[in-house]
Amino acid sequence: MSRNSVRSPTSPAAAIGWEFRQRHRWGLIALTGYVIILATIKLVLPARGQVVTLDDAASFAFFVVVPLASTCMYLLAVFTYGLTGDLAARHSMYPARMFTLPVSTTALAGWPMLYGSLAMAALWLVIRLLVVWPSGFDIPWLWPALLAAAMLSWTQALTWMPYGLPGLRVIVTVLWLAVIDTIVLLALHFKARETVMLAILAPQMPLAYFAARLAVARARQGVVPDWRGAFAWLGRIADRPAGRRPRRLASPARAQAWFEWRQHGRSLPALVGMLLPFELALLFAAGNAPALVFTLLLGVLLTPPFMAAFVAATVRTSSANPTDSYGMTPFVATRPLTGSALIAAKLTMAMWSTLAAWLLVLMAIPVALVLSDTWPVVMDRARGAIDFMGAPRTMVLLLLILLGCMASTWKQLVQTLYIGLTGRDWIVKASVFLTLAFLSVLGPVADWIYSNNRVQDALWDAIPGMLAVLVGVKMGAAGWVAVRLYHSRLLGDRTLVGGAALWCVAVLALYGVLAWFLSTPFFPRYLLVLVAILAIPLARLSAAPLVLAWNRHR
Amino acid sequence: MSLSLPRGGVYGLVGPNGAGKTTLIRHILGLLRAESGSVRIFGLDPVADPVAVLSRIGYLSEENDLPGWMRVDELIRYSRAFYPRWDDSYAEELRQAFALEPAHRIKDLSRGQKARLGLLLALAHRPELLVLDEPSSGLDPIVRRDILGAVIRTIAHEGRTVLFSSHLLDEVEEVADHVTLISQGGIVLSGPLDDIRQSHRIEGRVPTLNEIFVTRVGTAATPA
Repeated sequence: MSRNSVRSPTSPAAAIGWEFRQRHRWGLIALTGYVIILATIKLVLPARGQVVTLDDAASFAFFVVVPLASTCMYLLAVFTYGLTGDLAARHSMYPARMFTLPVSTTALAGWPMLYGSLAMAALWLVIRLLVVWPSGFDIPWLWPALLAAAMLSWTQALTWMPYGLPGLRVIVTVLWLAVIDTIVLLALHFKARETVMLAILAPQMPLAYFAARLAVARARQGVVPDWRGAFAWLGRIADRPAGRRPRRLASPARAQAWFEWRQHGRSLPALVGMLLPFELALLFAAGNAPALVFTLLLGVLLTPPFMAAFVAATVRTSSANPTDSYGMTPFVATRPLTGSALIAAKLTMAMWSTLAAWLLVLMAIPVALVLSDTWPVVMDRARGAIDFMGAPRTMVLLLLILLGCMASTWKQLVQTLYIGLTGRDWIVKASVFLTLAFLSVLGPVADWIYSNNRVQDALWDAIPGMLAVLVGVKMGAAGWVAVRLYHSRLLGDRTLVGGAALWCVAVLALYGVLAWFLSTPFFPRYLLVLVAILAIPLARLSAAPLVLAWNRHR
Repeated sequence: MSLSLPRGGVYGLVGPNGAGKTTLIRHILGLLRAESGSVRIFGLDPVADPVAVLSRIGYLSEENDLPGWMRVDELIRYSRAFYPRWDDSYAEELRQAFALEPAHRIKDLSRGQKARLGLLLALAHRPELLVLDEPSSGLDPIVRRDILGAVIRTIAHEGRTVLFSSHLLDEVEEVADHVTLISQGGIVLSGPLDDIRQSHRIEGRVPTLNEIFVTRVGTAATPA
């Protein structure tokens, strides 16, 4: 056999496995390298009498938890076909090219699930085998491996399923994995034995497999439910009053804003509208417990910005048909509009979408409070606040909280435009991967900080310095973007100067509010300035025209 | 590659799949940035000044990328906002000629209907330059034969310019008065169709464009 010849896979199972191996060989090599290095550190060096200080929590988190969590995320992305699919789309993430293969649906769903489960379980077992865990930790062998496999299997099943609404896949997947996580945490809390853990987790595998098989079968038949019509009334309210003929779109800017609204603007109000009834229904069970009532209300108020983070994944796409690719389609790219006008339409749509979502929240909360008889609880607390702060200060505080939540929702919708508008799959997917990896290590790191007073003290002392560094980075990035915008002539001089002036006004206004509200010696004024500078979007938002031009004119 | 298209006339861009026809069209539309050399449309750089260039161009994409969630009337309403010279009566005339129902969703239209709708949008603002990228791949034979040819001839007659790409040389031969043959990213031949045919006589006979292409490139534009 010649050196360059490649042995052909002889069965569908081998072909599917070969694709995973061939396509992700560099990632798998890196993973193997990590395991070998870890094994060397933990096994070889101590054997030669050299001391390795990996057993404290910080080293453990840095060398084990962070790479392990990142690797798990990587394997999830690989075996769900997430690196080539669109997480926010309605159609299945399973590659459509494979539906025409002469292979049964059972094989299409089963082999990737088997390979993925084996990879996740093997990762755990190898790490467990090679790494001498910190003393005092009793970490079992089997059930974490099964948990990793179950998590991957359910992620596969839920991401391969076609959905009726854009973005619903993310919500369903996150919620379902959270349910499994909660069950496991509860079992751990009650010190369940390994056999019990196995009994809880083992049935997950066949259940996930049947769900995955159903998902692939539906996707293969071209089934993509469309529930957008059920929420169309939300859009129709904003589009035009009933019975009136649609007016002409008076300008290209208005036409593009209408286009963005119709394409993306309804998603956030629809998702918030779907969740609100369930959240507010809990008020009926809250009774007269103020803590529970206010916790539920806080959850309701955080719903729009939280959901906006998911909806942003669709808003930031530049394509008219984001299911095809992240790149810009000729239809959108050939609109006789400047890049800044295309972005302005997205910002306008985000504003209307935010207002619509908050209108729903503000209408639903009083109704739910009255119907659930929890209105007196809220009024009682409001009177207490008025007695403590005075009526004007209380009103201003409530208004600021509301405006802050609304601004946060809008910001969530638009702050990742600079990623999505690049139109480069690898940038979008790398950002998703990094975000998930970051979120997965956030818990252990927060726990480490929470349980370590020395770290807390050091962090508290370092806050001004860290904020100053972040401000430096932000202003440096903004300066670089401004120079690039000026030289590329993507924005006019007047727009650049006007935008900078507007940003300064917003920062000063926020600083004024913060200085008025937090007038205590605990918060030095310079700290408030730094917070105001960091809170108002600048660098990432102003980079949007640059990345759009990079996408539009390749 | 160096190519100049004077105002007026019908220019056929022909070559096999992968020759570079769509790449050239994407440069004209400003969707690709020239790594070297320059592209000027109406004397303007389409990358630096997309609004001035694109508002004077009608473009029918080879890709069926019209937004599927819109209705036909919504797409027409949306598109007319971008073009000051949009002609409502002409748009309505084309809509009826193409048998497009205003209330139909674009995602429910057939491939041919989508191509007709794309052609309507490209024509209704009476562009100075009409760019058609492989129109044959989307339009059904009746529209191609009866409508597209007539439309193209009308535009040319009005002194406007049509550039269309195709790998079907006999169709180009029917409509174009200038032809540019492209192969492997380079221009093989460019000029008035009649001149090209006269200068490539085979044993005294005026050859077809297909024969000329085979002579110059060595392969047929359309795979057998």
